[in-house]
Amino acid sequence: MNTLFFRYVPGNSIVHRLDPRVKIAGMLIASISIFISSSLREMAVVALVFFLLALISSISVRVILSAVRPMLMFLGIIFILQLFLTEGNPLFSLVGLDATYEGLALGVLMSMRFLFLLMFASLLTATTAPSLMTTGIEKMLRPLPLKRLGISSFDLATMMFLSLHFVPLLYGSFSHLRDAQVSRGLDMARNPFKAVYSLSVPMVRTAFISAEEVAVAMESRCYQGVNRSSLNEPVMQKNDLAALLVFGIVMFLLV
Amino acid sequence: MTLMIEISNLLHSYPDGTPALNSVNLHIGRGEFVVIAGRNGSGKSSLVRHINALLLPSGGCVSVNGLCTSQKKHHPDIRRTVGMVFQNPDSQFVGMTAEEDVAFGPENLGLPPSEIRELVEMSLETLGISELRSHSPRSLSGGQKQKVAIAGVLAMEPECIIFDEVTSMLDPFSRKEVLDTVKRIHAKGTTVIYVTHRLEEAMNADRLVIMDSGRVVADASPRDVFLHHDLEKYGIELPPVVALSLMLSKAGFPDIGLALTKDELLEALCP
Amino acid sequence: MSIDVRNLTFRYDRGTSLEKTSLEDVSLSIDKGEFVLIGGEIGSGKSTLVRHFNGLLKPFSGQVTVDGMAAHEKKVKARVGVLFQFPQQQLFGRTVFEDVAFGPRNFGYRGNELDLQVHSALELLGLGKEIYSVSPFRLSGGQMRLVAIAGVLASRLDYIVLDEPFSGLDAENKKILLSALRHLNSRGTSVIVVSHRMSDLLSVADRVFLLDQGNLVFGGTPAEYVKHAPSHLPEITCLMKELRRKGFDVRGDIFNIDDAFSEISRVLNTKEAVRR
Repeated sequence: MNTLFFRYVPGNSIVHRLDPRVKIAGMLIASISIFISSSLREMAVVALVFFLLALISSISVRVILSAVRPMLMFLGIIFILQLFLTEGNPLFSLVGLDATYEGLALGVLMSMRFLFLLMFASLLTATTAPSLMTTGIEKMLRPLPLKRLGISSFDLATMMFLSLHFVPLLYGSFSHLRDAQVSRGLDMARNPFKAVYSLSVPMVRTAFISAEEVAVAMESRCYQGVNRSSLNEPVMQKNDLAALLVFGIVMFLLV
Repeated sequence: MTLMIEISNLLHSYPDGTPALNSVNLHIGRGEFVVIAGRNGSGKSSLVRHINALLLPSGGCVSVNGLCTSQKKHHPDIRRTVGMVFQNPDSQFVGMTAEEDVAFGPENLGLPPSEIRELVEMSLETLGISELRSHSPRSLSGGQKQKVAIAGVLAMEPECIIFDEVTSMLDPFSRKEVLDTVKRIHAKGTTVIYVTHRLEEAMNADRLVIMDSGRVVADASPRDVFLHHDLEKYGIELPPVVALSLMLSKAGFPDIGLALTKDELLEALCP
Repeated sequence: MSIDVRNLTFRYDRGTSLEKTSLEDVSLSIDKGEFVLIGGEIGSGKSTLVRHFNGLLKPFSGQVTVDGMAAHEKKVKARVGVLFQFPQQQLFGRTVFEDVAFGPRNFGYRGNELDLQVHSALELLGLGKEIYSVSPFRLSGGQMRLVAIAGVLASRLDYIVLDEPFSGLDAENKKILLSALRHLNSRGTSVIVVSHRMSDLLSVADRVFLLDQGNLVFGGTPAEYVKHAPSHLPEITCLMKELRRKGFDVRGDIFNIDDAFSEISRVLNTKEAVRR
């Protein structure tokens, strides 16, 4: 059972204790550097920084892998598309399609980009309590003129929080349903079409029902999407800012 | 006793037109402990959802402390006055830790962090779950989960709490714990409306209201309801001790009479 | 022919700070044709245990075999049906018939035989022909539950495991389900019910197992259970035991109302006769 998928894993490392806004900003910086990095050498730097952070935060490899595993097929497709569709010196050929050296390099680079994006994201969710994440996002959004769009920073933050909240909940119902249908003789490998149908129909129903239930529970506790306050107001410390600065400089100089 | 909740001629229909509630009249006074029972689909859950304005009447009127639920501007006040704990604890959590979840209500009221902290501490302590504050609610046992949910409602300091089948997913031990908590909250002066289909849980109630097909079919003290109504007709199982005492008193041992609890029956058999 | 569990240990979220043991060295065996009750509080490991019976979980250590085969072999799924909690969530068919037919179809039944099995499962649960072509989502909660249960019964498996099938069911539907299970059991199907409400089932079960925090703390007949079980006694049993303690000469190993009634009447009648 993949219960660790993008889940918060409590801990007491430096990374855990950083202000959520710093970590979110750090995530943005990391994503930008990942996308502007154009060579495998730069990718290696990203990887090094990532593993260093993962080591400091003492998050286990299983947690990181659990976020990557479901996306492996997607990464594989990206890799194969790049491999065959990039023009250049032929490497080998398969059913009339030419794989190229350039394609191989680009394929590796592209799939590495997505891979590290996922891994950084899982590091962020694993080390940040979702409520702090929400408060962080809400505070970062507050200066934006969202009112003109008819929503509040509170609505937006709550929506994000609930999506985070729903991932494990939906994953839970998914494995529950999969167990139920497999117990009724469903063979996922032999009959993928039936599998999709027999899982997606109840899945959508469950998602709607749980969304409805959470909404009702929130409404009955006076949620109105207007000026909310928060139990844990994060306070930005000097070393939080310092950490962000160091991270930003490292990423941009090296990549 | 001052009147707190007034339901008169309440009608409610599902979107497809089938009636869920049919001219329900019910008055609940401040400080009462009212149990509402009935089989699946009898309308008991719909009824209580009207009391904190989660459902609005198709006809008739529901008012809380004189505020009518059909006026939207009253909803925040009504929901602050009447809190609600739901059947499935997992679907009502909005916090990643117990204390965050308990804080959700006060946060919605826009209270300052220090005041929220105070309310959270107070509710966690009342329920005896202070040590669970940083646990994820989903990692807790069923009984602990419901206690967190109850603490979340208590933190808004409501005058009345509705418990909607809160024990139906619990095992006997947790059920007793949660039920004791409910009794304790009632003893402190909170009005309690307790929905269940297990009548064992109704013995301490001031009133037992039985619903069937969207109507109130009985409304009296538990003792009078057991004596004067055939509950099996409404698809409700009698608690084993009650059933046994009625069987005995009908079968030639009239001195035994109706016993609501095991101790009452023991007393009747071995005086 | 039996389900055999030997020294089964299982842990969730292995290797992280969230790791917890959910079964610790559990051994038990369930024979073909038995009616077995597995009790214990929520979180005691009951659901984890039964997920090993048809190979949904693989043991961390120890082994589980069904009729001599390792439980995770594919063939086992055609012998052991497991119905999880809130089974109404698993419905997806366009009609009630289609949904109930899903299981038996996966196990290779076709044509008349399929029709017959679906019909007899629905009939057994008191669901009438008028709902066969209705969408399952239009039914009431109780009926949806029964349709989902029919979906497991229709596959005619040798072992049927039901996880908390009674929770939230009202008195009528509970009766219907219980008599359906007894009927199947009388035809040779093993019925394994997982429930934290022991009192409903003590009078029908052949054997009872009790789990506590991942450990098996009791295994035996219902009569032994009410004599020796450490906890979770039905209220009627407690009443009878206390009566005995007070010198009221009734049997202490009683767990249903009818037996309690006849025991107490017997004693009361004797007392009255003595007084005369």
